[in-house]
Amino acid sequence: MSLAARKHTLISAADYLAAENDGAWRHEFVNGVVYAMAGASDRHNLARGNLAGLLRAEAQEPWQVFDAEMKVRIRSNAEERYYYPDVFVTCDSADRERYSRDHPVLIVEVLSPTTERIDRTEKFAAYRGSPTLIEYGLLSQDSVELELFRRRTEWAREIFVEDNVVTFESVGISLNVSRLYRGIQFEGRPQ
Amino acid sequence: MSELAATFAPMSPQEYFAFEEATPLKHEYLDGLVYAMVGATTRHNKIAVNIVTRLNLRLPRGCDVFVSDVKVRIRLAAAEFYYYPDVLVSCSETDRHPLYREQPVVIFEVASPSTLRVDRGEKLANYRQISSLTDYVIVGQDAPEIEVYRRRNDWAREMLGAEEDLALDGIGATLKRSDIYAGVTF
Repeated sequence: MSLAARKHTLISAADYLAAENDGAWRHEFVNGVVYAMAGASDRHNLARGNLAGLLRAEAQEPWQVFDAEMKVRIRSNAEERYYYPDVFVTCDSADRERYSRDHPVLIVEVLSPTTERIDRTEKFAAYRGSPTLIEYGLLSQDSVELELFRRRTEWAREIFVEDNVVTFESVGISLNVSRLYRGIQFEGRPQ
Repeated sequence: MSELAATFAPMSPQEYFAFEEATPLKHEYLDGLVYAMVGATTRHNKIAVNIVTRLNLRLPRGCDVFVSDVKVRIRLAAAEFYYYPDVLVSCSETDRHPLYREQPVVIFEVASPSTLRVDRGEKLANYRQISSLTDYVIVGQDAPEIEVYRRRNDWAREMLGAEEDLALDGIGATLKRSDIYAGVTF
C-alpha cells in the first residue's frame, strides 16, 4: 500500500486535536478520518438547550452537563474516536481533560434527517463501547418523542412521548418529556 | 400518544419486503427501521458500471455479479439488516433467494460525500460479520481514492496506492485502477 496515499487520507489524533482546538469549525474524528459537523435547525437547537438546561438545573457535583461543543473520546482496542454529542453528562471528578471527556454516563443526540442514521448505528455502537455509559437517548425534533436505551436492559428501546415522565437513571433525574419541547411549535399543534 | 408511539413499531422483514414492493424508492432495512436510498449521480453510476463490466469478464465460474438492485441480508444474533451494495459478487450455489444474497464474497460501495461515513462505519461493521466476505472496497466518487478492507488483514483500512491495482482475494481477480475510473475525470 502506498504510504503517500495513506498519509493523504488519515491523520493522527494529536494532529486532529491541535487543529480542532484552534479551529472555527467542529469536526468529529473516527480512527484517523475527520468529518465536518453540520449546522442545526432551530428545533434541534431548542430541544438540545432545553434538555441540557433541565439536567444542569438538577445535576449535582461532580456531575457535569455538556452540550454540543464538548468532545467525548471513545477508545477501544485499536480504535479512537472523538464525537460531539448534543448533550452528555459525566460523573467522574478525575475526568477533566480540557477539551474532552472519557467517561460519559448519559449521552443524548437530537435526531435530524442528515445524522439520524449515524446516531442510530455508528455512534450508538461506539458509545456502547464506553464502559461508563449507562443510558443513550435519541430525541426527535419532529414530534414529542424520546427513545432511551439503557445498558441495564441490554440497550432495549424504550419510548417516551407527550406527557410521559422519563427517569434518567444515570443522573437520578425524572422529567416530563414535554418539557424538552418548550418553545417548539409543531405544525398545527402549538405546544 | 399511542399514535406517536406506533410510529416506532419496528417493521418486520416481511413488512419491509411488502413496503419495498409498494414504493418506487429503494430502502435499506436496519433492524426494524428503514432508510430511503438517495439517488445517484451519473459519475457514481459510471464507476459502478465500470466495476461490474470488468468484474464480469474476470469472474470465476459459478460466480455472479450484481449491481445496485440486489440486497444483501445480514443476520446477526439480535438484529437483521438488508443493504443495497453498489456491486456485489456471490459465488454460492445455495444462495439463491430472488431478492437478496446472504453469502457475498466481494462487496463494493461507490462512496459519495453523503454516504462515505455510513460506508466506512455502519456498513463496514455489518459487512464484516458476513462469514463468506473476503473483500470490501469503498471507491471514492469525487476523488480517486480506493479503500480496501480485507478479512485476511483483519479488516484494517488499506488505501490503494496511486499506481496500484485492486487484487480481490475472494475471486482471484484483479481490477485495474484505471479501469475502475475509466472515463471519469477529477
